[in-house]
Amino acid sequence: MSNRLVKIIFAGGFIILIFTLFFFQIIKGNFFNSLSKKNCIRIIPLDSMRGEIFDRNGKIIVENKSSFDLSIVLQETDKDKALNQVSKILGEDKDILEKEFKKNYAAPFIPAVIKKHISRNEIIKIEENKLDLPGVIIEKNYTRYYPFSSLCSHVLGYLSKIDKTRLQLLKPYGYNPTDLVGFSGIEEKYDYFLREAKGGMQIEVDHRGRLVSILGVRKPKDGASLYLTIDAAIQRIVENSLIGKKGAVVIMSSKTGEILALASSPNFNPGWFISQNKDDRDRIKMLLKSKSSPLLNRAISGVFPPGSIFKPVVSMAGLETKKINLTKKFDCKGFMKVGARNFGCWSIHGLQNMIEAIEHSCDVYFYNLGLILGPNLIAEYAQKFNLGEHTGIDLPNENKGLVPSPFWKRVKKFRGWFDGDTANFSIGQGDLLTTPIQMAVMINVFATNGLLVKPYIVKQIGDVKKSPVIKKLTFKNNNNLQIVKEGLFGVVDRSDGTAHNLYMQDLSIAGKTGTAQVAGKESHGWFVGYLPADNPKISICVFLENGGSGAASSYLTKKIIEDLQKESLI
Amino acid sequence: MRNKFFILAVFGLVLLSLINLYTISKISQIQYIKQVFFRQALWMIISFICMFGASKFPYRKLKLFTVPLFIFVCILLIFVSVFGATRLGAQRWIKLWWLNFQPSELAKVSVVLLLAHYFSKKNIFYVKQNANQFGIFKALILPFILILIPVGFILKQPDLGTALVLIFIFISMLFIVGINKKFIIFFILASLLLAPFFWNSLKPYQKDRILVFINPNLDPLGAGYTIIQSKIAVGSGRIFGKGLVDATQSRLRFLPEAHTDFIFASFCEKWGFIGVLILFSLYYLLIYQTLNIAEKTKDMFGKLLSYGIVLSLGMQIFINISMNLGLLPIVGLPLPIMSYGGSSLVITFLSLGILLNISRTKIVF
Repeated sequence: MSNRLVKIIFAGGFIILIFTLFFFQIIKGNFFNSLSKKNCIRIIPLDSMRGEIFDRNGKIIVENKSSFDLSIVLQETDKDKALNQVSKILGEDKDILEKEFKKNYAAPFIPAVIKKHISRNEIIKIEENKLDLPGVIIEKNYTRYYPFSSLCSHVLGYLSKIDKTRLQLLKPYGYNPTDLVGFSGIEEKYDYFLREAKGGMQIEVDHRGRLVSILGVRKPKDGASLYLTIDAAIQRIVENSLIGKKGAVVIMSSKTGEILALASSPNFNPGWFISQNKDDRDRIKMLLKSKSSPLLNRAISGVFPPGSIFKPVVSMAGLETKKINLTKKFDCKGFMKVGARNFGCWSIHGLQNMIEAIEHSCDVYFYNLGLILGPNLIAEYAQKFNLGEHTGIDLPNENKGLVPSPFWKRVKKFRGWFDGDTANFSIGQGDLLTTPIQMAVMINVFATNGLLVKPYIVKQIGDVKKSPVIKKLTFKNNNNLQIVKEGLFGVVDRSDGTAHNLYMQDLSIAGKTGTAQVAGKESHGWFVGYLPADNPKISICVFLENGGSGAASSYLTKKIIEDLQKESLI
Repeated sequence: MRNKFFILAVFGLVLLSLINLYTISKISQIQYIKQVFFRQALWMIISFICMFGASKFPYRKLKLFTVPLFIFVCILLIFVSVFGATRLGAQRWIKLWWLNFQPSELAKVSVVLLLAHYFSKKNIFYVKQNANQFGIFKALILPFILILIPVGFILKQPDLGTALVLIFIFISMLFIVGINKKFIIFFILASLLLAPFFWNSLKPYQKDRILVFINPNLDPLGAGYTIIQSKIAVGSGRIFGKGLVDATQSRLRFLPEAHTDFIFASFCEKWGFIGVLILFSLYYLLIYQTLNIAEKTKDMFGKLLSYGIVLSLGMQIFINISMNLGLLPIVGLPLPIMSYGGSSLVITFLSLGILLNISRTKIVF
């Protein structure tokens, strides 16, 4: 037995150990270091909640309800024993609990949910047996709750798990793959403000998970509350009036552009999107499949030909360019030949001046006026009234609509512009497309003698109030507005006006009906107006998709106004 | 001074041990561990006295005590198995006033003495001849059966680590004596054949430890917990160590037994790779010097005794560090000099004292 051999064996042993230690401490050192940190540092989430949403009168429309989840912390308990106990106490199948546990398990010290949304009774049962249930904890969470279910659904939007495209966009702002974010409506538009900042306490724990020291605290921050311009009472009346119909209604405060009600029908219940319930999941599938697109906010995202409610814009174009005045009359024989085609009027009106033509919605008068003006002037004035542009309402997915012109037609459709196109254009048909919110803004210019408002729906974010953005349109002669307004007043006031059904003793209303023909389908019915006519407080746009005619819309408007009066909201 | 490197290594290790235990006491929240440094310092003093005494005691007179000591150890082991204090599921200690004495520590040195005495009693060639001429029974089986007595009782405690060390001492003694290799293979096989018997006599937690050694993730919060936590402690020390406050594995008790069996992991966490290199240098220096003493000793008893001591120390060092690194199952064995524990420390220093005496005696001889 050589002594040297023993020395070499010992040296070899130490060298093997040194290599092993080199591997552990230097090659894998950072890995083990992070493990040691995970061991003893835990983050305890501190509650915070998403901002709540109130209407203009402080009535809560969207609130947060606390919900309770049952979780187990694996490192503090024996899983099988804990699950057995819980299943015995709650009478729940152990396999279901275990399945849920496996889905949520992340690490031994992170609570893994075994049952979501437990009831009050279940909480009490668990608390009573607390001593037999080490490592079983009840976690508090907040979920969105909609006390009025579908009220304001399109305005609010809904909350759902962030999708890939949004995540990519929002990652720099600190969004995580598990976050719930707003989809459409103000939940999306104001997500940044509504969003809560999750707080947490970083604590050091010992081997049994007991608190040793607090390393740091990040205070949670609740999301900002939003106060809407919406009046929940008005909104409810409007939504009720739309039940069973397809369409949209916008009611706006004339002087400021505050949206008092904005409804689109059919609608949905935003609560379905956060529910875990199978029925609600099926409902969402239905929403996505349905041909009547309940998720579409027709008031801002739906584009439709405006029909006759476009006539006030054409009138202004004629008066402002001095191509026509009040003394000029056109003879309506019920049709008019433009090019080789007869363009009809909905009635035979005889000789009409501008005011009469607006009152009666005489198409022949406007064919003539349109041909005098030409398409470019009409387009120019349409744009002056902000058509073809976003109104700038603070909701996502607003559609611009379309104001056609010969140039546009040449470039986009590779076709020339004909007089027939001009005739269609001048009665708001053809390629012209608008949204109900645009038409509300348009009619509001007449209501306010030239104010182009930027409609808005959020009045106040936390403590910060928003102020209205209003642009004063300049006209060459302000009297021109009065001329058109006289026509709009006559529409309701005169017994032969197209919306005389809206006539009321105690309330003067001005407005314009419109029936926009749709190839192969029922016409769209429009009514835009403002009231009281002499000193307007609110402007209104009622749109019924394939609703038949403008008369249908003016009847609906009447119902809404009557209901509002009943509840003395106007 | 002749043994200056030997003394240097011992003092270096003592210093490291005390510093390390001081930090463990300092950062611990537990009353008992807070006293560890003070207690161990007292044990150090007692140990130094023992070492000094042993270095003055002519080692050849130890021959007189080998058999009585062996019998005494066996009696103590029997006593422990009946009346011993139980801690952490093992019955290893005899409580004497305020101190706990662990007879299995004494068994190590006793077995070394007995074997050294037995194999040196007659001329080594005589043993060899005996073995070849009269069969191996009288020459080799007899001592094997003798040491199986303490091994059996120690296994029953249970203390797998110490039992393995005893078997290892026997087999390596045969190497040193220069017995025909086939006999050595015979004893290795014999030990392996006894393994199933050992396996069945193991307690469930010991079986778990061995199974978990094969796959630590088998039960990450049960038996595998210690291995995983120990590896984390070692690895997280990285090059320079985490110092006292950041040594969370030791401080927050994720690492169990950080002052005894897993003191190496705790040391690694605090002092890092650099600290380990210093510790290893000192251990190797000690072993190297001891082997030099063994080599220079002409007396067979002294030679076998010093080999036995160095092999027993070296074996304990390797087993302990390997189990700290997850290279071996957890068997419960202290790291000589570094681990807290009076019995182990006193016996270690007693052995070192005997070594010093052997080293001095050889000039006179």
